[in-house]
Amino acid sequence: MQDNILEIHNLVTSFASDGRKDRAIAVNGVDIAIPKGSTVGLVGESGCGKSVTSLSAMGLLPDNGRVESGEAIFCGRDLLKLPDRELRKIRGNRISMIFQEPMTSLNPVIPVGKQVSEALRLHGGMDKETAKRKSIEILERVGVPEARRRYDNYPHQLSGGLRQRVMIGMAMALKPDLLIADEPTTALDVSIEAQILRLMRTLQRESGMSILMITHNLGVVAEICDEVYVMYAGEVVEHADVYALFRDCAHPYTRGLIASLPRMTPKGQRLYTIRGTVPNLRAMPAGCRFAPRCERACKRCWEEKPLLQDIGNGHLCRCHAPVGTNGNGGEGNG
Amino acid sequence: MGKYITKRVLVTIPVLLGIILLIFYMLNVVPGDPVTVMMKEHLKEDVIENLRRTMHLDDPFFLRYLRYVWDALRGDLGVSWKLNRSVTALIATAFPYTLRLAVAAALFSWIMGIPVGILSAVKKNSLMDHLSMGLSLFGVSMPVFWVALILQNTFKGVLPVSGANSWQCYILPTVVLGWSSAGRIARLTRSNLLEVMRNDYIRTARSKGLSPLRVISRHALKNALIPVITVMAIQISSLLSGAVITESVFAIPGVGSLAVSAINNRDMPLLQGTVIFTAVLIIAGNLVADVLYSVIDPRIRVE
Amino acid sequence: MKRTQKDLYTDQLSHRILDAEAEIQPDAGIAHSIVNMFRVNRAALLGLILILLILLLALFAPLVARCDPDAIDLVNLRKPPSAAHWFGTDDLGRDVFARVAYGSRISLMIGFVPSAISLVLGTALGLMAGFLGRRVDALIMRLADVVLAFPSLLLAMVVMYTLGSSILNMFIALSIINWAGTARVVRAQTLSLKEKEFVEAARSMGVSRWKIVFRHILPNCLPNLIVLFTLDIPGAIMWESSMSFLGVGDPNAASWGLMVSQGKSYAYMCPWLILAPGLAILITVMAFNFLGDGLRDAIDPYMKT
Repeated sequence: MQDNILEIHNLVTSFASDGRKDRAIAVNGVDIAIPKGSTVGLVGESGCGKSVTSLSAMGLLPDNGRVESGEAIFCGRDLLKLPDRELRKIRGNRISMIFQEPMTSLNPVIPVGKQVSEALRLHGGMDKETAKRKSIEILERVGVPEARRRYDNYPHQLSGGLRQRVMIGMAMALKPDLLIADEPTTALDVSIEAQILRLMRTLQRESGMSILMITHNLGVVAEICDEVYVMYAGEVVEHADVYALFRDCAHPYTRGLIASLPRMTPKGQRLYTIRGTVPNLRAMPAGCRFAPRCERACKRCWEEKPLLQDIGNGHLCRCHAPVGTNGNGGEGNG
Repeated sequence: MGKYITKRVLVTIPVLLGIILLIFYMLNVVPGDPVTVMMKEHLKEDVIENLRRTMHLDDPFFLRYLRYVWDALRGDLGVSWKLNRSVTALIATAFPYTLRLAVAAALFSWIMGIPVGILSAVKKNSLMDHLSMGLSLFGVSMPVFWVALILQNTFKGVLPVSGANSWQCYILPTVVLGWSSAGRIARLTRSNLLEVMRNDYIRTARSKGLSPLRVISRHALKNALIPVITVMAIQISSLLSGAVITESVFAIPGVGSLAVSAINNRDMPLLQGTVIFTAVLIIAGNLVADVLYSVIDPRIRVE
Repeated sequence: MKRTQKDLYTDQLSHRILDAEAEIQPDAGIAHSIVNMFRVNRAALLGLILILLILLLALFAPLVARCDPDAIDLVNLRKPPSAAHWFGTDDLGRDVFARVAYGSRISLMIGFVPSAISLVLGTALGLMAGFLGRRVDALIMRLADVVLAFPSLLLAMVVMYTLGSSILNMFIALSIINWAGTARVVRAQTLSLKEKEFVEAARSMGVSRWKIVFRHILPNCLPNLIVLFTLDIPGAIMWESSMSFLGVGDPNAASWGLMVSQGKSYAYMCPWLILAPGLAILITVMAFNFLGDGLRDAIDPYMKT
């Protein structure tokens, strides 16, 4: 386990909402390991807790969020127990983040170049001039044309793709060990998406950093990830390397996700959809959390919560009756 | 930019004409003939007739309005019935007092309001937050004239409580007038800052490892204070309203006192002049605030 | 420039950090959030209770006051508070407590009536401006600009000067200064609702204009109107008392502002003369402000803190 850059163990995160005493559990006992130099995908629908997992580890939860238990080991230190001052030295320096919406994630009233050089001055201890020179270099590196001129531009003067390049430049400025990318291409056009993913790949090859790619887009996962965690309703339901996952996924939810990808199908065939929606965090089913939406659910699935089990070669799955086995939940008949 | 300002100035012209029309109409349909007000009842019929003619009182309303606008443009707002002096001159003498008071009160309200608002937002839901927000609502709810009276009677003998002969005379009026504005600014600063703090770019700033203080001062404050500028424009209006009361309690010979005396003496030209003058001030204030806004906010600057 | 802010806000909403939040908090409707607001926001609850108490005081003034507010007693002039006269007596020997109690009737009326008038007037004009658009819109909004360009107090004073000092004219003056703000808000909301799908759908089905206004647009403006109304009341009370203080009010309506005005010459020797009515204004205005503030937080998610 020495070669993992970040290990999250049994993370539980809850949220308070106005006027309610009970807290909603958004992340419920998540374990994730990110090997050095590799790209790990964290996949799931909106609201499954994938973003919350990364924000918890970075200490960036909104005010109403709180980590209940768990640890996040980065270079032998638990990020969740570090005092804020120490954690700040890691943030933006050794672990950086890029976010989904590059329009709102960049400060609208500060020129983009200044926003890039900010981290350089803070962590790199550079003076204004050096930081500016370095920032322009970085902007050029991430493919911002006319970087010298763009340095003084405000975010709204750039296109979405350029803004995301700036975000990446900002995050890569200090050559972090780990880059957490939270839906980095969701708001972009498909052609721009490919460019951005290619850029991330190149940068990763050069610096040897690890990437945690948070996305709901399996296409992105197939493109860039080495291994994948699939999350559903605050829990990891499946974990495998990317080939195993696409070749023989075991969890019905993952299968549903893959089946609902549009592809070259004969005319007239319907696109697969998973019925229903993610259950309310305050009213989770007692058994398997996916049971209400699962086509294969049987009595046992409703009553007994499945555990995350190794189904061979380190392929983990949280299901009583993984796809590919012909069991339908053991004893009970559905 | 220049285009924006030109357009903005042009829009105010009909409003300005509307203001003068409204006031002129209201004050010129008022029952009670000005000549009788001026001369009491001791005048002979022909003298009154003569006076009416020289004052153009028998002309059609619209003609009188246009004449007034034309005169006003040249800086002539008529002659006070009671004081028999040029209204423009009276306002020119009184305005410095009002200006000094309003500026002092505005500064007071910013110096008090903005830091309190920031602290409340940073220490959201703390005792200090609840206390200062409660206090500011308390401040907004206190009648200006009442606070004025209470301070006047409390500080009798310690500070000057009437007149405007020295800078000490302005201390109490400034506090009275600035107090409720300070409350409003504190509340607005707090709610703006809290709103801004929820933005994605604040999370980005934090993800860079900036300290909370830096996040607020570098990334949040500018965004949060831009809308506060709009309030400065609204503030001019409420400061001038408040100045009417404050000046009359503390016997400061400003424009507000002039207006109150005009009403009490039924001095129509003076009232008309002071009201139109203050309205123009407010419009100019709004204009300046809008332009300032567009200078500060880069999103508008480009358009 | 308002738009940029709003755009930012909608962007923000759609890409919330916590995408789970929508899941956690289903929209429970305004009535629910108001009830909830009273549970969380103690100040708003306090405001509501105070308002109810003041209403009761106004209703039962004869029972509470024990003496006639206008009974002149030349033996007991400007007596300090005592068991017989809780808030002391004024310069004509009248019981200050009774005058404050009866004054609540006038001050509440001054709060409610003009606010109601400007609510109706402002809503009607705002709907017209927003729905009819073009010339009507331009005319109404320029008129609103004109009204808003004055310091409210001075404009109201000019109206009183023109119409004469009576309580009815006071209503008119206060309505004139208050309608413009309401009209602006209603217009803005009408404009944005007009573009909404459900209104377009109703239109495409041939529902008449006025039916759309009353069925779809007005109900959606209602929450904001409640807030505006609640916040107009303390404003009206405040302006009236200021005008009465300056001697521009109805000299026969014994409002709290007039009482402070009459007591001001004795303020140093007999502070109760200004303290009692002044505190009455302060408490009433604060109660409405607390309530209005809480309602706004509950209804307007922009301001939610």
